[in-house]
Amino acid sequence: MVTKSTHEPKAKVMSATDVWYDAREIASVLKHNLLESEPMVRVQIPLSTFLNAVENLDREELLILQKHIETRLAS
Amino acid sequence: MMQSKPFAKIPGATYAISNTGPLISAFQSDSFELITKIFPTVFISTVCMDELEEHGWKDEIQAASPQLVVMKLTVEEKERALSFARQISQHPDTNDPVMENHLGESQAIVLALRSEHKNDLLLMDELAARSIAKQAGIKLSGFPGVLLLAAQVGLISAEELKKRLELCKEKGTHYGVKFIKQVYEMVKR
Repeated sequence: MVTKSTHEPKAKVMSATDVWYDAREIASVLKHNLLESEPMVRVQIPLSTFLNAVENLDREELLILQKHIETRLAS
Repeated sequence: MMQSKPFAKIPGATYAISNTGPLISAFQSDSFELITKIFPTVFISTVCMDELEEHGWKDEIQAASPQLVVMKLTVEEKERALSFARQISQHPDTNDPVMENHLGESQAIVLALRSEHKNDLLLMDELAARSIAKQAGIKLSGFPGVLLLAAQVGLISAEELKKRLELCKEKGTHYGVKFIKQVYEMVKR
């Protein structure tokens, strides 16, 4: 029978607080990659509706929007 | 299982590069399949593969294929890994000052720094190596973080998370009782 063992059992590992931030990091990376792959569509909506929608975006989404706007302005 | 050609990625998918510790925890708690529900493929270095075999996980490695892919580092990458291993061995959070004992972590860091993995995630539990990887700008998580995310999105229940961490503990991974309780309670936040 093969004996199975643990790697570096005495190494210091993360705290529960680190685990919380780890899960948030994974969620953020997954979301970012999904958004990056999403195709762009042209939607005809009033500017005020668009600006209202921007108010509900979180920081990461605002950064994606910022990057998109900067690219458009530079072209 | 050994990959030499460029890997064809699924658009929008996030892949993982792992060190030895998180994979052993995944095997201990029968969680590798769960990991592949989040990351379709997990990449490891040849040193990590050797360490897994030395620890007796050969059958689990074979069962994990083709979702577990071994990547061979170039000569330049191996040199770079030595530099990271030195940094880890000198870090205040390490208990092991022998540079050669940190080759697994350092090769995982070098793999994660490849351009094709710039949007992927490194799985690493050891505090010193995590600190060095973060300094290099790598996004990472430990194995318990993957379980917490899985519980938060409904892939497993809070009870299942607790059971899996307890299984790891029973099989020798150093997750304390208080730590497991705290992570379990986080699911309900």
